[in-house]
Amino acid sequence: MKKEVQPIKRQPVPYLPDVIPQAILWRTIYCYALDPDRCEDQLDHFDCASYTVGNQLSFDLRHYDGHPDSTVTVYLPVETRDEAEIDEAVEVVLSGLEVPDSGVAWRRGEDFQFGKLPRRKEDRLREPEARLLALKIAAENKDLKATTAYIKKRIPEVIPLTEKDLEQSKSRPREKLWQQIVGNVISHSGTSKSIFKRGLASRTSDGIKVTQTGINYLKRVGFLIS
Amino acid sequence: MRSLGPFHRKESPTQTRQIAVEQESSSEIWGATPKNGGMVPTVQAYPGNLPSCRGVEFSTDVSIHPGSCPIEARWYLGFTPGVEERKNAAGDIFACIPADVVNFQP
Repeated sequence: MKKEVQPIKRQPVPYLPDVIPQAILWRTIYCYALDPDRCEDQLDHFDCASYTVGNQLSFDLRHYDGHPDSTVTVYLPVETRDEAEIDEAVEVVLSGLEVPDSGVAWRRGEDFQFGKLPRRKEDRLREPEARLLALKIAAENKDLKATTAYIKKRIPEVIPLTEKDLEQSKSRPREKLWQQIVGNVISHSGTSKSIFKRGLASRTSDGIKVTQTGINYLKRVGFLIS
Repeated sequence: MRSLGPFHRKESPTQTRQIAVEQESSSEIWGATPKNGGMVPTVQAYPGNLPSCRGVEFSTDVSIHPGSCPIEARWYLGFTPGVEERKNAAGDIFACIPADVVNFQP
């Protein structure tokens, strides 16, 4: 049975003091947090967003300046030491943030070599993630609007595209696969998962505008501070 | 050259030029307790050679703590075998690992 996804709450508080890295994603922090904070600790400078899930779980997303580009790391409090507890917490974080499995570069329990962070072969931008990213990109703007062209410009800045993403689209020969996926998000309004059908965004003449329902949704996935 | 490394720390407010000189001469890397409520003095570093920036590179014989990850190395006082305790003049406690240090922030 699929577990219920718990809402993530972005916290406007300083970062957690004592944390341990528990998972690394091949995504930027901008996929999951509007305006992350710029912080500094004894390792380095870093971009950071802090979150809670219910009353039990706190976590940070961080990108230190010395980490590989286009990665973000999930940090849990140092008190979370039990392997099963870590695994469950990471699962809650990944499902709450709606991170696709393919975007996880490493998580606690997996073997690793220092400095090696292989990208999963199956990782690429797919429609569920593209829908959410389109909303987030529009929500970055004060008027909550974004043109399709702007969304296509911004996507490669927030998600590191793979070779598969950069393959030529078969149905739209002038576009790459990822551009076709983003185009589908804006043009497919009739399907049940569409951002328009779900009331998360409305159509503009050349793109989308996030609705109040969309804002509430972006708060539930921790992108916006409640 | 010790058995584990290289690791590096980039120049920063906590990795100053003076500290780099002390690290190289003492063959030790120290780590403080994280600010704002941290509990455990910890040495933290990035794995691999120093990229094109100022900082120090080091190697050590002290095994990395299992709480490390592919892009960060950590050694915790009281939890990682081989980590030693040090105190500064103010009495603050630090984690310390013996290390061969090369200073690239003279």
